Amino acid sequence: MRKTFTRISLFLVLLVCCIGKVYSQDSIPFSDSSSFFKFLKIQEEIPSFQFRYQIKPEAVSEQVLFDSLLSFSKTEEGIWVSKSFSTYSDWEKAGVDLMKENSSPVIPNFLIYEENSDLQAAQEYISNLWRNKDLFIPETSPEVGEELVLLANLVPYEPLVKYRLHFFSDYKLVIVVSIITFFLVMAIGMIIFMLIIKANHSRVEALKKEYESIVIGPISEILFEKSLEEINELTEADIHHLFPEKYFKRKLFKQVLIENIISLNKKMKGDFKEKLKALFKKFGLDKISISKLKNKRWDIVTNGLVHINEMDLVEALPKVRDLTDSPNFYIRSQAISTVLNLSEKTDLSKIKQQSFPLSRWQQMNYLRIIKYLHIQKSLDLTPLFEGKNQTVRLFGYKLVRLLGRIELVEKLAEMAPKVPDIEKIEILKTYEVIGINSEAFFINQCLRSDNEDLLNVAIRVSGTIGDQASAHILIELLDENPDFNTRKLLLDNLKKLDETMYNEYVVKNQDEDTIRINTHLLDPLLQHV
Amino acid sequence: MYNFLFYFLLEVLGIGFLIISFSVIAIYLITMFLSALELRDHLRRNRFADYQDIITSPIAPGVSIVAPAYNEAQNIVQNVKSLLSLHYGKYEVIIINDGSKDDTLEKLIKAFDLSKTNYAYNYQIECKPVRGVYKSNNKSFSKLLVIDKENGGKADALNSGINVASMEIISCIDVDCILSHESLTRMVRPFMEETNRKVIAVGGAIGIANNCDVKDGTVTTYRIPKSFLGRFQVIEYFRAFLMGRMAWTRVNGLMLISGAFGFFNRDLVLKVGGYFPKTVGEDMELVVRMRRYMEEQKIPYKVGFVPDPLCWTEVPEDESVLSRQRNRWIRGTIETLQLHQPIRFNSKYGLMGMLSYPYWSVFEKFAPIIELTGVLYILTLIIIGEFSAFYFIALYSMMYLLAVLVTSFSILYEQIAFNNYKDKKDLNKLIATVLLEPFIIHPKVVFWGLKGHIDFIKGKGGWGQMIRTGFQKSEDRKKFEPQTNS
Repeated sequence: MRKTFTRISLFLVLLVCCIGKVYSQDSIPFSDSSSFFKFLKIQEEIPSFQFRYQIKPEAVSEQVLFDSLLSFSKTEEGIWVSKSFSTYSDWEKAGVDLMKENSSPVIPNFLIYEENSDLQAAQEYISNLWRNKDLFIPETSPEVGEELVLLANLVPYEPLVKYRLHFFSDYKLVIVVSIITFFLVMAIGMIIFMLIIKANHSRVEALKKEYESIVIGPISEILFEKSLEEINELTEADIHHLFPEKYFKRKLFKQVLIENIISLNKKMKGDFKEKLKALFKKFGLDKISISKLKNKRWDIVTNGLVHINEMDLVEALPKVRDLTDSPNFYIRSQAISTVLNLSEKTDLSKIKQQSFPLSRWQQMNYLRIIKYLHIQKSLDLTPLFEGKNQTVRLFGYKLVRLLGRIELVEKLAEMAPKVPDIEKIEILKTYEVIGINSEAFFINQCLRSDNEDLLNVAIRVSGTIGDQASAHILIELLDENPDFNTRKLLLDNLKKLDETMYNEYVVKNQDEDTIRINTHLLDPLLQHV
Repeated sequence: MYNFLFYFLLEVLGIGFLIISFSVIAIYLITMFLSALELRDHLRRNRFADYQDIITSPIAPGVSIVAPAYNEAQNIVQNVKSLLSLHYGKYEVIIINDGSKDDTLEKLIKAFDLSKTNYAYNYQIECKPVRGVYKSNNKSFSKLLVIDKENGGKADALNSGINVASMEIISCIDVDCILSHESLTRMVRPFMEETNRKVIAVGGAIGIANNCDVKDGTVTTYRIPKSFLGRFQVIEYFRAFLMGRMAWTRVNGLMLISGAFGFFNRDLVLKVGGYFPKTVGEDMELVVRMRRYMEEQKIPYKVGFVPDPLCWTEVPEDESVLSRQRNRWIRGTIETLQLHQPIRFNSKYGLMGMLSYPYWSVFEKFAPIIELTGVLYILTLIIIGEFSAFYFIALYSMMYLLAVLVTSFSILYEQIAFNNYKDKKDLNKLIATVLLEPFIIHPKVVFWGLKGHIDFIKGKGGWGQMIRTGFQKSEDRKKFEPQTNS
């Protein structure tokens, strides 16, 4: 790949250089006979070209003819010419004496491909060679005193930085190696990190098992052999007698102790629960749980809240209340559950004040707690109806039906016409479940709604707690030719509300859909489908 | 000139491969990091979840399990009994006999005392004609509803089931999957937890049941499959579910929920027109269309994923079956991306348009083609004498190490999070598979992927032109010609 790149670069450089050369060879490097001879001198030798002298006819003399160096001879054309020289320097040297004279007896003559040629023919031949790029001006070595740049060219190349590696001159190689190195470092780092986690995980698991075996025996012994008063009177020495001090000081040991006590607390009832709670405090584990509330990790805070809730650590309530509007879903869910559980009166104010929407998951958890508490403690749901958060109000309406709080229906009836459609839906469902027959007027109003969701719920509710007017509205809606599913819902609820009107309608309307729905509704196997 | 162009092209390809190689490395490293964070958070969240509450809570949503069955006579009764015994209060099981040629329906009728009803079936989503809807005379099976219809393929069968589903959440599963008793409670949780965004779908991880012990519908002892192909799929599933999907979930960019185990908001599925039966990638296509709908309506939403082992399936250990499956998967991917081209690099579609879609295009759809081009490139370099052994070995080693690293991490995740494969021999075999996979199985997977591309070009399935047209809007699926409406 590197070779290819270099080749392309060289090719481009050569291309650019050649363009320059081609341009320069378009002009002939000599303009007259004097420059021509200078050019010949530089060339020294030219292919298929030879140099000789021709004696002028008036200058033919014995002295000249007997010159052994030039060896003149007569040609077929009748002219006297010297022997031929292939190099300019030999030719020039041989005729130097004759050419020095003012009126030289000889003139230059040339042989081109062994053919006699004069100066003009020679110039044309050389010009052709030049144009065909068969001739170049040979480079001459500059001498000291010439231009500095040319001198610098004579100095062999050496890298500026000594010991520079070939490696760094290939940028792609550098990139590849850098990334591979980065990858390897990252990979090794991640592997080491994961191995540490795995090893740590295994070590903690092994320690937990060991500590569990140490913890279970003494706790069971205390639970079954000591009374609550005796537990409350346990001293530090007694505790260290149960659990060796070297273990008891360890964080993980206390964590195992907490987990075991909480686990037993979930399974046990009555006195045992009280004993476990007393032990929890006696071992100082309550402080650990409460301190977790200040942790930065949400799961540790939530864990602390779970402990406080399970072990009824009422003293931590103020701190727990501060967490009820935490931006973290798990913290605020658990904090509200804890407040609900530990407050003397079932305190719904924290739910009412929620600025974050209540998820169904939260509602399910709160419902479980409230269901359990509302039997034991007084529970006022009305604050929830006034919550600024719509999900809180919806949860309030749900609670009315899920807890069967019939006395609040009057309050709901007051609010129902003024609330948004989504809340009307929830109120209608509440009426249906509780079986409120007195709200047919509101149901009929909802049956006229343009909101499809509200309309569908109203149709369904009308089947159970509607009145005669509802039945008439249902028939009106059927006459508006609704889609198949709405038609099915309307017919189903009309049948539940007033079977006579339903039968009359079905007899009157014998369209395919109505017939199919009718057979469906009459099928005993499909009563709850 | 041609010579120059040839070398220039080689140079461009070389740089392109370098960029792709390093992108792959970067993406996998990011994926490993994000999935680790998501898995950690998931495990932490699980510590505070009391799943027992969901079973009986009136606030928990109802679930309609929709399971198509085609020629499943051999195990259908056992499978349905398993589905009917899940621990959840409000749910129904809808089995669709998709024109089976064997006695699937007869076995169901006999085992569950079914009778044909006068069900007023409404083709709200188009599907092949329904021949009958069956209910049990025995109240113990009141949750069960069986649809008998003409054969129309999995997507068509699912659509017919969705038409009768009455619960808020639809769970689309393969009837031969083994579901854990806790599967519904755990999968429903993400739908219940979210406060500011609407959860439109939740995907679940799939475990491999080959060679495992199954008791009362739950895998009791995990063992890795005996064949190399089976073991390869174990590590591949770890990579896909514990790494890939967890990472995408972290950034809410998940585009694929396995067709074998996915939960969807029913109202939204109906709004977008249900499954698109003209593609073999119906599971991915539905998720993309649902996401498109939410983006187009500008409603905040989330696609969740639960990595807990809740669903197991038998994977093919036969090469020809596996090759057909992979061929289908790649065609499904190509078709889905083709159908939803308007979202590509379209900021209107948020992360899906700018990240998920391009990722799937380059690293999933074109992966086999890129790999083939890479091989041809190297061969060309060898022929012209430009082959640099150093670069080749360096890059190949790096990619190999990356593959090994990523897969090893996914095994490590499984060990830390769930630790199902407890036998050390099994683990050693898995590690051996990790080391050999790039040489033995990967070339085959690339080849199957290429065949998938060729089959797509040839128009296998017969819907090529329609798929190339694509959907301009998420609701365009409803505009396609109805097949039947009787």
